[in-house]
Amino acid sequence: MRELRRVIVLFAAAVCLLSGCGAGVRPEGASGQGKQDVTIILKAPAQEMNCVSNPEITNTQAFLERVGQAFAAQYEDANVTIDVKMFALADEVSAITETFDTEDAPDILYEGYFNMAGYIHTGRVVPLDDMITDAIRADIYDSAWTISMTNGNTYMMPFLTMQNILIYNKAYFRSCGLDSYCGEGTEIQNWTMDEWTEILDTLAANLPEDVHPLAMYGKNNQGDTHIMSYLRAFGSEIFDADGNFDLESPEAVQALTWLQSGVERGWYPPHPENLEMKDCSELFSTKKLVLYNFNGANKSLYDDLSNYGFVNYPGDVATSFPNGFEIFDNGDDAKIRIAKAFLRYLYETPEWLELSAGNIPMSKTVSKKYAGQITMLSDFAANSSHVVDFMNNSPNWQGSSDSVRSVFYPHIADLLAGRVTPEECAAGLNADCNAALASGRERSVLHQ
Amino acid sequence: MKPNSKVSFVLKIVAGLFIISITMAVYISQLNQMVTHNMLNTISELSQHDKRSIEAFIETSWDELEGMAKRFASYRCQSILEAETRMNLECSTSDFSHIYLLAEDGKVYTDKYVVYDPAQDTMNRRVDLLPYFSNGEERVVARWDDKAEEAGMSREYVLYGIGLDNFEVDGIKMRALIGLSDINTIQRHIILDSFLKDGVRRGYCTVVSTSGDYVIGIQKTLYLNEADNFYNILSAGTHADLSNEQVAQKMQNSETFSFHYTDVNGVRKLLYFTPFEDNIDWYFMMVVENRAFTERSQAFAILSVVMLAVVMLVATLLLLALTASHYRAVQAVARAKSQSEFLSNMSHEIRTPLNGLIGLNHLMMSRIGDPIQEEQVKDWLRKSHSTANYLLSLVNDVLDMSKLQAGKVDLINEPLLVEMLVDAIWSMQRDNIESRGVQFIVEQEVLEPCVMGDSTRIKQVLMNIVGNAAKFTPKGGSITLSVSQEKTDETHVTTIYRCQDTGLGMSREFIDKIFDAFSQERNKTSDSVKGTGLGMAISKLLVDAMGGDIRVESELNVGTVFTVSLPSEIAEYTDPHVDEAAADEHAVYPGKPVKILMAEDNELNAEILMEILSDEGFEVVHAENGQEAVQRFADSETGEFDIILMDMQMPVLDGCSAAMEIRSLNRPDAKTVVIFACTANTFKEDRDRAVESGMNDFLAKPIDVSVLLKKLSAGSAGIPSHVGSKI
Repeated sequence: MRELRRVIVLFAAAVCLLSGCGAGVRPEGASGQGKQDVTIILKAPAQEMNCVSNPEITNTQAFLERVGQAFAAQYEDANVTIDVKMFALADEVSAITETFDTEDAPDILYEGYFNMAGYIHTGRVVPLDDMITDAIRADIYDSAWTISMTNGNTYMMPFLTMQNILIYNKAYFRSCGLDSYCGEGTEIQNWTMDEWTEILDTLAANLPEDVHPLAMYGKNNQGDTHIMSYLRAFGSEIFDADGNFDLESPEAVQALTWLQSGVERGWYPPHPENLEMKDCSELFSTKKLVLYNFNGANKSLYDDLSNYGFVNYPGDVATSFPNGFEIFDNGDDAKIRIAKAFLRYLYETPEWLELSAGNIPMSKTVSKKYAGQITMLSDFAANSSHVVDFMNNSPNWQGSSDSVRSVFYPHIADLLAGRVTPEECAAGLNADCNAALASGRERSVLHQ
Repeated sequence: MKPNSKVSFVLKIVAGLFIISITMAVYISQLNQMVTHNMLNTISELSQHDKRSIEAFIETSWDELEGMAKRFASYRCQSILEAETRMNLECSTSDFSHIYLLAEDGKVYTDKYVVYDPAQDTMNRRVDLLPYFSNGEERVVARWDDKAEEAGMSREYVLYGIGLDNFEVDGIKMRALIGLSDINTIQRHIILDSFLKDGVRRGYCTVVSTSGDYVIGIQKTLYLNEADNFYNILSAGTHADLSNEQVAQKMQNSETFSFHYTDVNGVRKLLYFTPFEDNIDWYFMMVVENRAFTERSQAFAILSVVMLAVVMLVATLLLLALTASHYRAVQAVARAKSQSEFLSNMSHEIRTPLNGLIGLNHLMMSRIGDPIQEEQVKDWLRKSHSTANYLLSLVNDVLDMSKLQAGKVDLINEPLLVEMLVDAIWSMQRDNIESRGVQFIVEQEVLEPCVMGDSTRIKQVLMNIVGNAAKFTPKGGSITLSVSQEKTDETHVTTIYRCQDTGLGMSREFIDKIFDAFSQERNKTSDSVKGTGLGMAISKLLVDAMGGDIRVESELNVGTVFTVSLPSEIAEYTDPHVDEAAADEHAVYPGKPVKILMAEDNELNAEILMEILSDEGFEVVHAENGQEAVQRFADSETGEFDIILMDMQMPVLDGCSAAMEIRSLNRPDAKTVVIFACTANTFKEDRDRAVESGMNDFLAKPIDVSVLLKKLSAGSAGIPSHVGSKI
């Protein structure tokens, strides 16, 4: 019997040796020094940044990589790598939503609230209140906290904001005899709807054939919030008291009618339904377009600000695009802990917090320190009364095929292509956008 | 197992394992090679499939541009804006994201009304497209990163271009028509982007230009900061089988090739490259982590090991089955041989005394009436009696063996006196042993004198053992029978009987089969010793049946020790002399005529019995079968018969039935007449059957005359006795 046991043991040992089952494998993620190797995926859309405190940083990639490296160097509880992944705004869905529950899922997201807010309702975004110290809370503008909270919890960390208005090429205004509408310096103007119509008609009539008066596009959802601003031109507030879209109101239909008429009147480049915002951006930067969106950050669009004028959207409307951070729960508490440590480090380190100066900082301290160096900061501040909340804290705004942003632009494209009347467009927008909101409310799950 | 055979066994096992290990190592090596070869074939096939799909898509894109070019020619656009608007509309109905017209001066007119002029692009934000067609290329495809727009809107495109001849718009000569497609349109033609296992990718496919630039990203989702040059990635890794220069050379030669390298994270990978068709300056590249290979070969290896184990198990089981079958066959042959030998022995053993009996009878018949030979005749009669008893014991042994093997022995569990039992053995064997010049010693150390058990069967076992000792212990030797006890608890005790002799001893081979039936040690000394060869087998079966244990230790020419351990319940002590006295009292012969009805179908037996009984003063009436016995009793006067001797097996009506009929008769003595069963069937169930049919007691055939008389004496006194029922 003993011999038989020996035989079995020897055979098992031989089999194990041959099949390699005895090979020791170091657990993945464990470093030789006893610290855990942790990679935090930080995603952000590629955007320009104006950083007055550090002119070397000209885009969000450079900003995030520098903070990430600095954080990793000083963090002691683990060997952290902040893996910064930049994506094109048009690839938001494939870069964020489609990576959920994969190894490529973001742990931290930095981008505009208009995209980020929708993720809060997926239940994947963790509340950040436990990492916000009293000092951090006191340093950020109260209004910023208000738009960062849902159901009393802070899900987004406000970093900077941008005010969206329109920029126009004064040279074309002057060449078309519209000198009287040119504003002084960097003042943000407001024109009546009659003035708007006159200006656009005048430009259309007098500009060279290959130069077009106003940016307009409907090919995809990029820049759709700017288009929404036009719907407020005649007094529509877009949302009703219940937070649903109310675009069949006379004011909204009048705005849609006005927008559609611009196609025939030559206000836009031909077939704007086939254009996207970036096309108009290029047209403006190559001086083929007179009026385009402006937020102070997109410096590549213009050469010298003194050659341009600034005006609120028709209806005296401006919008605000806060940018900030979200942390996602991907089932790894260690990663959430480290991600929060990263944000706290960023907000408690003046060097990094001050990189928000260039746009409009959310930090009171930074705003005060760099007030004189931030482009048009005082003008934007003076214009704050015209800023509207274009999102209305709506769920399902972004990130799914049935989101508001996914269903909004096809109706605008149809309107611009003349495939629908303004009334039909309004009805379609109401139906589809409200269905998106209803779906979002139904699916909404908040991480506690 | 002897030490030498142990070493041999272990060496054989080690050698076997070594051979198995070598075989498996070779097998796994071959398996790895085969898996790698198959994987490479698979990779090649998949790569070719995806590559052809991409090539077809590229051809389709070029064809689409050709169609557009023809339509543009037919439109005869008079202005750039008109051409741009046409392009805008064409683009909206095509798979392209952008349509460009490349003028011969390098300017680019777009479907989005933007005009790029590389000559005036001071910010160097645009790729100069003219070089793509500088060598007269008619069809171009390339990756093209659009980095010129507002941040956040950068895109990665695949650029398709076709050369234009004699195409002018507003006096501007156009060199090429260009379509830009989102890079994902190419990626959609790659069906295999990974070797997935447990949701983790083991590889991916991509397309690189011969300059090393990734045409499509290495991730499904493209990240703007991740696009890199393949050669940079290769340089960052280690242990590459090919250098960057060698890879470039192979690409320049349009070779299909593969090699391994270890990436910057230490992951070993296989890179497989296959070129696109001639006019496409791209390579299709498939990257597979080595673990995808090892995992696959491991799966085969594990499967193989399992299969091998199953085969070995089945083979072992078959071998065991064959061995068992062979063993059973050998045993059957041995048993048959043993039985044959036994029958031969039995024949010999039976014929020998029969021969003696016949011979003695012949001698005695010839000497009848010769007073000179009277002493001689008496001696022959004693020998004849002894020989008959031997024959009886032989038959009894065979019957016992048969019953024990069939498991039909019913043990009696009644109080017994251990010391008395040993004394009985001593009494029975003392003369036999001491007459051989052997000393017989009995040692007793009894804690509980009275225990429950079957004294008859225990005596049978001990008689066998001591009898054997007597047979095999030469003159001058000694036999010691000792008895001791060990209490197991308050109510139980194990009685250990030990018989040690200084006899011949036994060989090891014989010890191994001493308890087998039909076995008997044959040697020069014992051949002369009478025996059936069943004694020890019977003893073993009896001890087993009693829940005990029997062991033997022996050494040739030194002696043998048998140890019998019997567990039993402690019984209340009773004085044996009381019952014996009573029995003796009842055994007093009354000395008055007693009338016996004897039912016996065998004439000889009937005659013998009648003679014996008549000689002893009994009046005997003979009935030839049960029916006649019943009739005779029925016809008799009440109380005429004192005893009925009833043979069990008779024609017309058997003994049991006759007894029952007699008991059922309506006469006063039907219930009281003493009926003794007389039968050669000596088993307990026979006795039980006799009692159940109303008979008082049992007499075993061949009838022991002294026992018969004793029973008749008791029977005539109206007291049934069990004395003599020992068979």
